[in-house]
Amino acid sequence: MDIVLEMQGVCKTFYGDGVIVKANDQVNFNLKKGEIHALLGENGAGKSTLVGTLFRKPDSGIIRLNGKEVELNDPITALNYGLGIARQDLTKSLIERHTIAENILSISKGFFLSLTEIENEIIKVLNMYDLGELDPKVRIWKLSGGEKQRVEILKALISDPDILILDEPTSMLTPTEIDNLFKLLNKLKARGKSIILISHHLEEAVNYSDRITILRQGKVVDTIDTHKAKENWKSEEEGIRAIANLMVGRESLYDLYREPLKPVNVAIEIKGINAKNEMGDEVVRGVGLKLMDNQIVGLAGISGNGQAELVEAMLNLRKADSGEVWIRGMNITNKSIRAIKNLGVAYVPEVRRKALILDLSVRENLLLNSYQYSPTPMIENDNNALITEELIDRFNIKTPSPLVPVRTLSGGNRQKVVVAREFSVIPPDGAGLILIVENPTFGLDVGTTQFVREELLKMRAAGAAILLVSSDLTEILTLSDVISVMYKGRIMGTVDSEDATRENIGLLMGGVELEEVFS
Amino acid sequence: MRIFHYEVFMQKRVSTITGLKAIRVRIFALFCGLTVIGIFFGFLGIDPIALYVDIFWVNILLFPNTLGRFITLLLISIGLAIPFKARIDNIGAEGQYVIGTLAAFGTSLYFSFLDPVLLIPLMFINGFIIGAIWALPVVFFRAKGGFQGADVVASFLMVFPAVFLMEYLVSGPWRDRETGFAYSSLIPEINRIPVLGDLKIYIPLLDFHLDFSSISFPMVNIKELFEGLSLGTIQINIDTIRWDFSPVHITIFLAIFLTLIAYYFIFRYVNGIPKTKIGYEINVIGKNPLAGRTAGMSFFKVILFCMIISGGLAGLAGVGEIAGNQFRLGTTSPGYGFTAIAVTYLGGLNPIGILVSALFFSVLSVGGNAIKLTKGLPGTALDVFSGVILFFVLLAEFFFRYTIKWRRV
Amino acid sequence: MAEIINPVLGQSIVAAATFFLIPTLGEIYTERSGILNLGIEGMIIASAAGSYAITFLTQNLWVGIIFGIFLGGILATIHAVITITFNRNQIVSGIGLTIFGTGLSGFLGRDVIGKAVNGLDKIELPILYDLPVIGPIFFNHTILVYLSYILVPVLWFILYKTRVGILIRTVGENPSAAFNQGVNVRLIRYLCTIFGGMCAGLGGAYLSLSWLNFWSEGMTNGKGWIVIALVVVSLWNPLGALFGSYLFGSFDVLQFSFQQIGIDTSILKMMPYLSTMTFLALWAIILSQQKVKSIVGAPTALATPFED
Repeated sequence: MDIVLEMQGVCKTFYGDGVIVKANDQVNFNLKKGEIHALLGENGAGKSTLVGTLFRKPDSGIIRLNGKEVELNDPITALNYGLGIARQDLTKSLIERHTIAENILSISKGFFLSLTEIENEIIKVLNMYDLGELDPKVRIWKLSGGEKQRVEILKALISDPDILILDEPTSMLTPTEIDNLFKLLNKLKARGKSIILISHHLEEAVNYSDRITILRQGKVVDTIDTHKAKENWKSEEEGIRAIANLMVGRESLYDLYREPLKPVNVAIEIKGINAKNEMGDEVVRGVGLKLMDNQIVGLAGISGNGQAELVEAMLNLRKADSGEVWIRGMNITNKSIRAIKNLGVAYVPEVRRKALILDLSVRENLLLNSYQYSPTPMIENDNNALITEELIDRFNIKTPSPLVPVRTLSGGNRQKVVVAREFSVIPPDGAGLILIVENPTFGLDVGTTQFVREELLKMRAAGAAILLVSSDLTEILTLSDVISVMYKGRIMGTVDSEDATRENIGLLMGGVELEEVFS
Repeated sequence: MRIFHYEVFMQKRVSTITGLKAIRVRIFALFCGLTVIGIFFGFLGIDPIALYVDIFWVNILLFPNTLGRFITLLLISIGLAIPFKARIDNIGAEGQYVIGTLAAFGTSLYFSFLDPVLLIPLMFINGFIIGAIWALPVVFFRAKGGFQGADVVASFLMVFPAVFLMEYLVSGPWRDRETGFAYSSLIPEINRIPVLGDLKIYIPLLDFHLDFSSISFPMVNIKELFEGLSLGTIQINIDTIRWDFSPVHITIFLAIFLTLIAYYFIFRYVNGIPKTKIGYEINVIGKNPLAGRTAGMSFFKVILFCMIISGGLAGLAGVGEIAGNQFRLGTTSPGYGFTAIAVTYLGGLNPIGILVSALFFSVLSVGGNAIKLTKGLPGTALDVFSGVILFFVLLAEFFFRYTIKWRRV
Repeated sequence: MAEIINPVLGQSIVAAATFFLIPTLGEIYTERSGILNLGIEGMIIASAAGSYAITFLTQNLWVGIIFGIFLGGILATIHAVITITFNRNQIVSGIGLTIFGTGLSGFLGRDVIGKAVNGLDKIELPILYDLPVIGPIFFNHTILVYLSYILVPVLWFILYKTRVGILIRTVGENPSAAFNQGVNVRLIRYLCTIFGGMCAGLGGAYLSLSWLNFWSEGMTNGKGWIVIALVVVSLWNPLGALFGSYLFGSFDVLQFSFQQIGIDTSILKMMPYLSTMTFLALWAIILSQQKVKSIVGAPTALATPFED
């Protein structure tokens, strides 16, 4: 087969504050005509950066399209050469306030803007590729996460590219939608288009790709022919494990031991919470949950099903329309977030921006809770400085000094700062800590992921009541004692960890009722 | 970008410049700014070097006046640094200052039965309170603005009602009956803020006398240095300089005291941590309000604190100016509140830096005022300085994070 | 109400409203591209002085007006360089521009204070002038007022019905998305900022050569800041600007009607500012509702720098 795209010796360096990251280091990559080529790697391995160099030239390296060397300085050149991309970060790609048609500029030509022309084109492409229903006149903010992702794919397809790049296209899609997407990719493949699929879902890559290139820390580890490799693997399980090892560079996630503990006291109980999102749609509907000491309750679900709003409503960061929250027998509904936190509640939000002040020092970030413990308006500087030294030590935060801005730290160490601060909250009267964590390991490398999960289990053993909100099923299954599944603002069901399997939780996440799953 | 055979490009520094290096960059920016202003004056047919030399000499001669201006600028600028640090863009200090002058005059008018020992502190208290009240709308607009820059627009729009209120008062109820011009009567001498000239300090332990009223300045060395370089246009008889400290009212002690207080409690770091809870909260809210809210800080409380201090200090500056220096109200506002914005940014939003930059702008202001007549400078000349220096200070911030490099192609 | 229909009063409202309208239209374009230029006041006053001085010097009105537009563009370019090329704080740069422009106006106008220049003449538009009531109010003005009538629909059309318009809106909403689709974000932002400056410059020229026909230091009395508020009130839409400008124009003119009841002029002069504040507060409350925000409201990327 012909090679349509060849990248040779591609290097790309980022200059952060105090850190120089070699995101791509001498990467060689090629794409054959009519293949699906998966790019695999951990977060931060340089996958997105590599395809990014196709739209913004690399620091050094050669890019050849159909054997001809090209210089792709900006996105418009790349588009003209027949490259199409569906990006991962939709906030940087879609305009919430505009309609779908207004979002697709690349096909509009001339001085006047004819939206009807674009709308017709959209409908034509939707029908051609079986992408499902989308009304081009609808504004983006009204769409669900999955629909947005389909718009992004549509945006890439509409200019009829020869090379289609999909950057994590399935993160917000339901299982049926994922199936449809891969049917579509196969159709495109049959027409002679070439596809680069970026993913960190190994199963997807193994099942649907023709070749797999694995990146680790900016370098290519290996390129595998999937079909040949499949013949040699004894089972799919084994193959996935082999690829995972290549991605991580060592034996990945060893098993965690969750010692059997008997939960006694109810730490926090929420009853019938209803809450709206920013757009005024009810996204949390009558949710009730109970958390006990020495227990991890996993709240599973595809992200965007109301988990974030539920947590915010619990902590009174968002107004709950109805319902009550009780902590250790005390009604705290509508109490201020500070009053709630002072009862021994710690919170690790999913959005890191809510937890870290990047421009302030590590020390100042570690004090965000403890600064207010002194009885006077003054801060106890010496004491607090000592506390932060201990935290840096205990949680093994790698920083040149406690006084450098958090911005200069790596992603893993930044999260360790948050974890260190929140896990060290001291509840009043020796009660157990109530810990609410949202996707605590999202985007972290394997080492830190392991570390955070171990710490969570240590906290559990020390008597904490933990609510683990996560869209990572593996995380939920390994850590939780009890699993509740959220779908469209409702709790679909609560399952004991002994009865939970990847399959039945997955069905609940897709909106299948509990009775049907366990019948 | 390409210039002839060189490619010029910006490169991010490995780490952001801080501390002494940052000050150096800022001073360099200031120097560039003054050069650009010099070129601007050159185009207008004014010899810039002579202008700067004149500004220098005028300030040597009128150093007490410089100090008088310094008090006002310092107080307003310290008041601005605190909200700026919390990312509240209060640019209406001029209005808060004007309302402070009104408070001072009103107090002296309506509380004239009080003993000056009580009346003068009351002036300051009223000035602070009314200045703070005038700043309150900004709190609402910052907290619930609905769009970027709501606080900026609101704070600016509050300037004009203050000025027109002053205009109304001096052309109506408070008009000077004797002259009939549109300005108020003078504050009675007894109710004025004492000046340094009245002050005689004696420290018994050291047997040390300090009498500000008769300080003379033997400037022989400076004279020798500059005689050969008489580029300026003002004739100076240096031998007889005697500084008269009567324009310097004792508010200067209050101003410096408040500067140190602000530094000590809000800006100073001990062990890498601010000294007070509110100082820490201002830091957090200014850098990332979302994280502050999640941690349980009250955004509203912090803004309220910042704006009360900010408006209050501008009010105090107004009191000092009217009861210590001008003694009567006119119909126009002098624009100290706008100059103070440039002072605050040049000072790097830090009280110690502001001490220096306030003095620098006082020098420009006194110099500019004094030679307005000889050079035909318009009343807004100082604004050109403030504006250009503000631009360059902003550009300097860029070079904290980036460098400009070039290579041959 | 009878007062408003009075043709003289109506005429002066239109004259005052035009002063707000032209810079507001420009600033709408600037903000739609994601740049907040708080220097409107500075650009207006510098151009008012500059165009008046140049007209006095050359005795040619058009040279003066074009100089005013040009000067507004140059000043906006300073803002553009600082905020777009160097990614600096747009608010501080805008404040600097206001202070600088005010200073500059003193220099430009220092030789023409109190000197008379023949401003633009009023033109009675044939046919339209004869319309009852609205004829004398709207069609007995200088050419710049007629220009503003044309600008409103034209600028609305460009913003909503052309490719250029959608590019500007996209850049202001989400510069990364625009960049990824091959739009030159910096170029569009530069052009919009400079266009905004030119409109402010034209507004300044209108002030000193058409509306008030004199120059004195500080003659704008900070009305440039009302323009910033007007952009908000108009919801970043040229048609809304028409509504807002005429509303605020009437506040500006109606204060003189109250004079007859015996309220002090100084107190009345506060009216435009206080009514602006009231409107702004009202709008702030409405616009901070999320549901409203998702449909109208400030361009999402307003005042946030774009680093690619």
